[in-house]
Amino acid sequence: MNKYSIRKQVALLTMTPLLVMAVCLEAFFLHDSFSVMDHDLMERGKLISRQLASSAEYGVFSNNRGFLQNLATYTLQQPDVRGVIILDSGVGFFVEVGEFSGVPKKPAPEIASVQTREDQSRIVQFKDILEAVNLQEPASLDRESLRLFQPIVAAQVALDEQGTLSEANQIGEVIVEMSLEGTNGRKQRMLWVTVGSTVLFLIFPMSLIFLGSRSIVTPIRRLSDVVEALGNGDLDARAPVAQNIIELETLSKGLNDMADKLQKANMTLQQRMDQAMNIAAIAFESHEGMMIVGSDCRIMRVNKAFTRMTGYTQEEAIGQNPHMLNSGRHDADFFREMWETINETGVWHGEIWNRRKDGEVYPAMVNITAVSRDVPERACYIATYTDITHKKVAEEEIKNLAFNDALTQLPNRRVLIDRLNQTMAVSKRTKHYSALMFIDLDNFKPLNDKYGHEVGDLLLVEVAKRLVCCVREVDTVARFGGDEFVVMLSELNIKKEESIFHAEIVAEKIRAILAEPYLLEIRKNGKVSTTLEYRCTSSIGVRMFLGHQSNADEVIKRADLAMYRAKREGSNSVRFCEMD
Amino acid sequence: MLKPSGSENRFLTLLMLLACVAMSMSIGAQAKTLNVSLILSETGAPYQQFANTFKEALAARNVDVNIVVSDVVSKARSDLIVTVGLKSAELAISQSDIPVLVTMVPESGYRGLTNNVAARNDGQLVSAIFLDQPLSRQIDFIKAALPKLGRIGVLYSSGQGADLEMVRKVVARQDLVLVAQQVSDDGLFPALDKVLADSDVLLVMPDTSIYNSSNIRNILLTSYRRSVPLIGISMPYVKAGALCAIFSTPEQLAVQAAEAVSSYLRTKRLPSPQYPENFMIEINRQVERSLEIELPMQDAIRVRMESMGREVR
Repeated sequence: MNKYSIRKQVALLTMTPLLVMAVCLEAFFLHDSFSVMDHDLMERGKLISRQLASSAEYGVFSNNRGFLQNLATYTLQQPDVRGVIILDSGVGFFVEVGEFSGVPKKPAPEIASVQTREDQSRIVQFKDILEAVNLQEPASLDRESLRLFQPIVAAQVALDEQGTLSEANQIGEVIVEMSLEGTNGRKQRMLWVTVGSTVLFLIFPMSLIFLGSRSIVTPIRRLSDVVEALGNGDLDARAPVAQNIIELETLSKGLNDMADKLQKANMTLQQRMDQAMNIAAIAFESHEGMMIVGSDCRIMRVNKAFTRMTGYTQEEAIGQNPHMLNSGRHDADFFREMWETINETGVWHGEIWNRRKDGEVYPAMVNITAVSRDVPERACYIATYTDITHKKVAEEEIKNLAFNDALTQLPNRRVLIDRLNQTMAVSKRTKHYSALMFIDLDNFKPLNDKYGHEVGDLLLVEVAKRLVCCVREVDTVARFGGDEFVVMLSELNIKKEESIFHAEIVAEKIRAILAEPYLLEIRKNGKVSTTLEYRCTSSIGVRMFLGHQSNADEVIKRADLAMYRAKREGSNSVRFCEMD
Repeated sequence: MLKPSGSENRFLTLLMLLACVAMSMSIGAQAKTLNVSLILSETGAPYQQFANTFKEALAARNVDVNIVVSDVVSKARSDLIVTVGLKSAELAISQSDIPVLVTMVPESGYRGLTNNVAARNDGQLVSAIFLDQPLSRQIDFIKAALPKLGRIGVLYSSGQGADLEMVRKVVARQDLVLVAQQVSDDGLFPALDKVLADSDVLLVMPDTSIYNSSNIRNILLTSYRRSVPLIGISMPYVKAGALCAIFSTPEQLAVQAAEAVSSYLRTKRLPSPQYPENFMIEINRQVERSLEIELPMQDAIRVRMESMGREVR
């Protein structure tokens, strides 16, 4: 459907009846005028032909071709006359001037002697015209011309006293062809003049209507503009209330009220939004590093904590791929699983090793939350990082405390039992023998009592170092408690004798190395004051084991028993516990 | 104009009337009243004029005039029928055997009538007073009116060549030349043109195939162009544009007819067919001026004609 402005609508509504009226009047007027013109032409034609016929009478009677020719030529000069024929009904004498539609033009004037024959052939050419117009049909009208027939009748003069007249004697005939060109031209001119004046006549009211409609249209347009401005978000826009049209005034007031309410609501909303934004901004700038990644995997935003944590400024980070933080410590599977989780649940939580700008790798606790997952193009991911380097160190410490001896840094009794169980499980499969040595220092207590714990501890640390040096990597050296150490040689040999032989060599090596004198630096206020040389031997009990022949406690107990036997039998020696 | 012109004429008529009255008185009372039926062809003015004059002229006589306009001849007893016009003449001659006096008929028309009908009733008494003037009077008139002109042109249609010799004789008697031209099939104009070229005047001969209401205007126009005056044979010709004409009025003819009836009353015999005794001369002075011809006054012409008549006789 076409859309029009009010002004056009008003103009259309007003102009349509006016136009219809004008066209009707015009049609009536033109029709009337055209009929008058046609009638005029016909009457003029009749008059001309009557006059010609009466003038030609004597010429026809007297056979005076020259006279008739002049007469016809004179008649031809009358407006609209196109052709004239004068015929003598007696001898077919023929005068023709001008031209006739549908008949070829007369050739150049001929010699008088062949005139009659020429006349006859010419009459044949004029046959249609001569048949079309006759006494019964004195006028014939076609598209181009009007033809009129007029008999030439001898004027009657009474010759007796009675006034008796003889019958009218037709002595010839006149055919006049009137061109419709002039009339049609006049008709056309009249048509244009009428149409033109009508258009002018219509332009005047149309401009009046256009100007007049301004008083209606302008306020409405103003209202419309205000509505548009409101729609475009300009809530300050207000419609002028003073209107000359009551309905428009009501409309303006209503619109302004509505705009007021809208503005108020908008302000409240804006305040809330500002507040929320503020909160969000503050929250964003928390001590946790934050990064927002768009659906295109580009960093959209980072906070200051992120910069502090990673070393990348906001400018450096934005637009980059989060892979720049990749430490290389996690494989592809790790990230794949991470993304799967995010895509499934919308969140991921875990530790990631990241790399700072300066290349340092650090552990971070990461929280990733997907936002607007439902709308892929608007989706983004918020990641919060907490640097957990310190936490990791603390964890390591705790772990040490739990599984290692704090003084010697050797695995404690719990770890030993654990490893012993592992080794037993392994040897069950491999059928290799292993050995557990229980080592006790022979004269540790006197040192401790004489020089104090600090010096005793120095000795213990030295013992631990010497023990670790004596065994393979795969073997375990543990501090069992006090001055008791345990060394576990795992996976020795499949043959028992070989294994015992091997264990004996190691045990002897340990006994010998532990019997070496110890140089202990006694410190006072952090400075070395004296170096004490101290000799301390050890008693070693060895228990061989394979698979699950016995449990861990049993193995340790047997080794302990063997150690006691060694101590009883003179210290500084190695004793094997016989296997069952 | 319809009254007789000339005091002599009037005097003669008076004498004649007195003589007639005296004669009828002398014949006495035993003379029987004559019943005359006057049959008019038409009711037009000339016929009425004729009838009135006729009745007046016979009022003093022992004649009972019964005027009828009828297609049928009354069988009522009448001793004499007087017809006015050709139509009633035909009627009377063909339908009755009582004596008929035909008036106001051209000589040629009367001849045709008697040739056809008279053969049947040879015993019937028929006579006529012609409408047209005797040719000799016409020629005398031309001579008297236009003495300088010598060539008289006439047109005749193919059937009328026989009378031409008589015409030529009459013309020759006045030392005039006759230029006769037959109207052939080529049409009137060539003949007219030819005769006008050789003539000084054109004399109308009573022939309706040549001179009729349709042609007369063009004939007159042509004669004007040639500056040849046309001599007419009746008043309408003069009115239409002929230079002049001599003719008899209905009154003149009626008087002459009344005389014939009077004569019949006495003699029981009708006079032989005769031309009008009295006539009028009419001149179209405008045409005279246009053609620059000078004609004498009517009376002068009449006197000249009378003197000519005496000379000839």
